[in-house]
Order: sequence, then C-alpha cells, then structure tokens
Amino acid sequence: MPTPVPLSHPLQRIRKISRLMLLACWVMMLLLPVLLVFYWATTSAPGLARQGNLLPGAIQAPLEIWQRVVAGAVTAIPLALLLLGIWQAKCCFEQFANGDVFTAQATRQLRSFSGWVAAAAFAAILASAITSVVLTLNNPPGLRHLSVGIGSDHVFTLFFAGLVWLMAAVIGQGQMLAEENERFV
Amino acid sequence: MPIIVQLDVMLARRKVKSKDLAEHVGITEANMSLLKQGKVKGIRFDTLEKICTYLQCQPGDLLAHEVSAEVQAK
Repeated sequence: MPTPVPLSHPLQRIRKISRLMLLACWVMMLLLPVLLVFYWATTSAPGLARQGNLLPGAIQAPLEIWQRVVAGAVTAIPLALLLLGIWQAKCCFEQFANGDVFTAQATRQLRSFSGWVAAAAFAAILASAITSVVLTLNNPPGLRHLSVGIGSDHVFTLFFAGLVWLMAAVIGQGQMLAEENERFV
Repeated sequence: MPIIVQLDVMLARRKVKSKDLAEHVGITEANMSLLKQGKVKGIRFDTLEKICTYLQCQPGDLLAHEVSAEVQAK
C-alpha cells in the first residue's frame, strides 16, 4: 500500500499553492476585461493620455465616444494576448494541483504562457502608439501625436517571459529524469 | 539484456503469489510484472532487500548475468 504523502511534504505545498494560483487565474480572466471596459468608460482625458504615452494636456479636443471605443479596443489586444497566456498558466496550475508536476504538458503550457506574455508586451508597445494617434486625432492640425514608448514595465514583462520559458525548459529536464526514475522499481 | 531476472523461478519455489510480494514490497502489480520480465531500467536496493527478506533468498538467486557469445569467444 503506498505511503500517504504528509501535509508538510513539498508536493502538498505545491498542490496547495497551485490551487490558489488557479483561483487567481480565474479572477484575473474574469476581472481584467471588466476593468478595461470600466477604465475606458470612466477615466478622464488626462488620465487616458497616459495610455498613449502622452502628457496629460496633450488631448486638447473633447474626447468622443468613438475614440474611447477604438482606443479601448486597441488596448484590448495586448490584454487578450495576456489572457491567452493566463489560460495556459491556469491549465498548468490545474496539473500541478493534481500533483502532476513533471509532465510534458506542463512544460508546453508554461512555454506557451511565456510566449503569449512576450507577445502581449510587444503588442502593448504597439497599442500605446496607436492609442496616442486615436486620442489626439481630434486635436487641431499640428497638435496630433504619434508617441512610441518602451517602459520598464515592458522590459520587465519580457524578462519575466524569458524566465518562465527557461523554467519550463528546466521542468522539461525534470520530466525526463522523472520518466527515467519511474522505470526503476 | 545481459541481466536475467529469475524472480518468477523464486516465486514458484516459495509458492508465493506476485500480488502478495508486490504488496509487501510496496510496488504495483504492473511494476512487479515488468520486473519479472526484466523490462525495468533498474531495481533499487531497498526493493531488492524487501524481496529477499520476503522470499528468504539472496540477490544472486534473483539475478543472473548472461555472458554473450562474443565475450565468451574472447
């Protein structure tokens, strides 16, 4: 009869934390789109200017609804990519919560997560540039902006994506060792 | 595979069922079957000790080394 794993065993802690992360993934997937819509619907023009790497006073003409909708849709693209990544992370955490740590599927899902996060970072850079144009389109000629910015948050996001990709590769090595170990009785 | 597993012979001698041995050793019946067929990658000393204790035998009773014809010719 296999010995039950004690609660203090590292695997039990991994399972417990994975269940919490799973819950966090669901909260993010449900909440972030709602917050995005709320943000674009209620934030004042000076506040929205930040989304396009603009100074608060850069949006001189009153913002029309179509501008908010278009800019919101553009910023929804990097969010959608991020949500795809979070979905992959959710699937991975489901496996970890079941105690299946060293699996090929977990490696693939983590790699996929890092790919989507990196894509979201690049898309965010592009989205902010497009947003700057949309938000200042009603400005008088000569005062419309195209602003491209790469911030520390983008750099950190790409670094994080790279880190997760590397961790996935390490788990892949662990999976090979686990498979080798299973063939010993 | 040069290492021959003679577990089935010892089980027959001791009139012990695979299932009972597997339960005592703490491995699955499937793994016990693979072990009998010599299809495992290796065996842990802990497992070997438990088998020898249960079957009251020595490791040499369970494992044999088959020298290939090429090596014999040398």
